[in-house]
Amino acid sequence: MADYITDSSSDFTEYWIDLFLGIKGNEYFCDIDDEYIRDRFNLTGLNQEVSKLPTLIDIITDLIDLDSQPEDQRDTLEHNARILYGLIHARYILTSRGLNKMFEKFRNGDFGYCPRINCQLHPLLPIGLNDSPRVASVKLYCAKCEDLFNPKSNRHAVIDGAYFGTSFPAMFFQNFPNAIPIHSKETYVPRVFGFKLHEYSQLNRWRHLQRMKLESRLVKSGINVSNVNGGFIEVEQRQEER
Amino acid sequence: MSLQPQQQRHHQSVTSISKVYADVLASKPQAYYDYDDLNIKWNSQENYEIIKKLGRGKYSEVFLGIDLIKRNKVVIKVLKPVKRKKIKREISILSNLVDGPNIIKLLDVVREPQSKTPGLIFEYVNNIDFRSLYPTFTDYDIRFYMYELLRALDYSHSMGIMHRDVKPHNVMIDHEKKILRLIDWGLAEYYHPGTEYNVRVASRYFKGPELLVDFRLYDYSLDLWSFGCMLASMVFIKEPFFHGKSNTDQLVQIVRVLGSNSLNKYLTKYNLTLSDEYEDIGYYNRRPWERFVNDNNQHLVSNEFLDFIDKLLRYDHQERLTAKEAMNHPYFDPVRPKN
Repeated sequence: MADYITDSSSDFTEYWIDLFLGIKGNEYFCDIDDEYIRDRFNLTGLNQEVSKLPTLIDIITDLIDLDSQPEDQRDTLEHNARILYGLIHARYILTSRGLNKMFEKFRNGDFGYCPRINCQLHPLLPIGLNDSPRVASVKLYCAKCEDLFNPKSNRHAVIDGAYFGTSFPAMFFQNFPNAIPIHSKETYVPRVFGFKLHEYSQLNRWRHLQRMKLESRLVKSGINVSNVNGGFIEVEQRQEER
Repeated sequence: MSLQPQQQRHHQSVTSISKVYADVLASKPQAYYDYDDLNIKWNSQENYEIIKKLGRGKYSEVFLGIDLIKRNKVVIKVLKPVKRKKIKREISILSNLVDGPNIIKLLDVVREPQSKTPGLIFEYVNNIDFRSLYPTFTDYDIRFYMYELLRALDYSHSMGIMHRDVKPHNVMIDHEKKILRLIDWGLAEYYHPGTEYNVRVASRYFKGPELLVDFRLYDYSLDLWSFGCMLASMVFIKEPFFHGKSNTDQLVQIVRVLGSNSLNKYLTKYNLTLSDEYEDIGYYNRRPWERFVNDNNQHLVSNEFLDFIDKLLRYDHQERLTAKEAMNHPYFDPVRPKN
């Protein structure tokens, strides 16, 4: 056993995917099954995004070692392998296995938490604003306020959004309807020396009225939105401050 | 009787008591003027919302607001942190004057529950800045509004209160509705005869000579000086009329118009001495009021006016017209209601 440990450092090789996932900044990615990558059907069209697709697949799945490649090509191959992994990732996370893996990451808070105060640290999901690579970097979606945010860390802010795709969060919640939060109705009310601002408050009163109308319409149609997933928390009328 | 204790002074000055309304407070219950014991019932802020910022003062931030229940505009004055006593004084005075003519109406007092920041809710007056409004005034307009201002002053004096900060910024005029309101009673004080008051009141250009020579036994007549400064600047189209660069210079500017002889007579009468910073004040002859008339302002000047301004802008506060006397001056014959 002791022999094995001392020996291993030289010829122990980690899998390419494990190395990739271990790189700082790659925390948003999940581990894609070898079988998924090897099934050429899943990679349709990706040869237009990267050259030497078969070689790259072999690198990602550890069938060939990068060191066996001509030295002047290694950097390009490694670079393209990472792009390819990202592009496959976008497809993979829409499959049922991929969704399950991303669910675990979501639960662990791997994508961070919503910075909005009223969302009370609700976990985020990554999303692309475009499905083509090199158009927009990855953003984060909060299901509680249903809004998008920039990643906090610079490492994450430069990741291509196409590695997650535009459909991911919506697909995610189709698959895990119980993960859809009960929305909070609370909003920030700006005040100056304790006085509300009239223009803002008028708009807010209008919004409140429209919401009440909508809610009563929904209730009449037999749809309950109170305290259910995707609905709204029923807040007790706050006592008037005296 | 007096709230402010008599303080020992380094030089003895001759005492002075207001010619009018000297004893009005004596006939009122103590609760009327003893604002220390004033119990304020603070209401909730929720009925009022801010529309926009109107301005800021030394002691407050002022907003245009709305009363959500009555659906009308109001003015919200949020007081900056000041002594509780000053807040009580302003509220006490405003409550006592609430039914007076041309006095800004205090509608409500509210408070922010956490910081306890007080907010005063006033009636709204659609004011136009005096710098653009006054130059459009005719002779009649000036007489009309200044008479309205005197009604506010005479009323408050008759209620035992001196405003102590009369100036254009504190006179709101809705020219369309021909409405005038005297606002900002934050420096106002109850007049108790024989009391020595703080001379650090009023705004520089409107400070009466009594404040500048540190004569603390002043009275309601201080407001008539400030009133005179306002009137002179409106008629002569010279804003401000006495343009001092400092408090010291303010007296110099006055002496350059009223002359050194009358100043000395005034100082002698009340046994006052000028402080050291006036050492090189110089000698000035009295400048006749006619000398301020020019092509630009002659349409606003009349003999009645020249007589009137002469009786207002006097060093000796006891010589100045009282608010009531001023209202009866022939200058106001064209605007005075006949009854």
